[in-house]
Amino acid sequence: MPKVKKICKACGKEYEACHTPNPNQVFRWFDIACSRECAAEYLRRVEEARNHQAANDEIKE
Amino acid sequence: MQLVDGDKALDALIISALDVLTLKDIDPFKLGGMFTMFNIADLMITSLETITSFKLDGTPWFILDELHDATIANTQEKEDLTGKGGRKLGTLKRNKAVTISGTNGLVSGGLLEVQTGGEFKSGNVAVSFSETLVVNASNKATTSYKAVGTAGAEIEALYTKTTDGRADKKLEQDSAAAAGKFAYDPATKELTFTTDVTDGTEIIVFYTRNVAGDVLHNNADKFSGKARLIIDAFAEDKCSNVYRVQIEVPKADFSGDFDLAFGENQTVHAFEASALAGAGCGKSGYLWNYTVFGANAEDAA
Repeated sequence: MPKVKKICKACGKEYEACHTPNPNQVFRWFDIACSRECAAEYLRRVEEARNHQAANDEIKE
Repeated sequence: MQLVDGDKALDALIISALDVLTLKDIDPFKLGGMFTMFNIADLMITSLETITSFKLDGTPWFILDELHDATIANTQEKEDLTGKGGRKLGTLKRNKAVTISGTNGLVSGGLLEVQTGGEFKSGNVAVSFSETLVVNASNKATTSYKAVGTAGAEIEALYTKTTDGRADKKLEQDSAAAAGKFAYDPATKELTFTTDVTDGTEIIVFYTRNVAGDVLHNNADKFSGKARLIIDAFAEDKCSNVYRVQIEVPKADFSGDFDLAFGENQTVHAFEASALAGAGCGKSGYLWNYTVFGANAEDAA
């Protein structure tokens, strides 16, 4: 499989990852971050942002 | 007197001939149908109706009912046996082969299965989707469908477009919108940008969505399969009597060579199969069976 250069969504570092199909959409940390730790940190930020957005939407309603 | 004696002699001759030709000499299978002692089964095929396919275990598989054409090509090799001076004494015949080919006007799912060796599965399938959206005054755009994938990376790629429609800048998905970055919430399907993506900017988005559908995998490790085929056609004789012609191929080995051509002409589904002897666990040597019966024939006893 071709290797691609990606930018870690948590720390911003460049890293190399295999571009493999993921038809069952299984969570794979290397799709988003350079390490498991960075992936966990990024997921925490995503959850926080989405929960915050959802809370704001509820207030608007 | 001599004339009377002559008549008796003629009667005796006729009775003697009838004794020789009794009913036991006539094939009962051929009585009552259009076949007599002489084969007069000359028919005009007026319509090719269907090709019905069954798995070799007897399960109905698929029906091709929009057939453009079908051909049963029969071959046999022959070698001359020669004698002195090369004169022909006989022939050695061998290698009978039958190829069934045809074209269906519709792309057939069942035919795809037998040609690829795969099997359609129903359920939720992930499909790639791309669309062009316009960013609104709130620096947001909404995808038509919910993008799925790794949380925080559901959007596979997003580009802004130039006014002449070309892809311009690539933006990355992040937890929050920032310069060169956008956020996506699958619950609301909303893409959020900062002010660097202005109102009215066209964007092109690539993502995967889940949808209920049927999927067939053409696996490199699986190959085309075998089926029993029934080819049904209508025919007429010269007296305008209508018959049905049914050709059964007990075991047809399908070829995996086929084209699906898309474009300006109709996409048709062509197929080719070789008839195999040995249907019924090797018991039968028949490559095909050709049956003719009246279109409105009653059930036989």
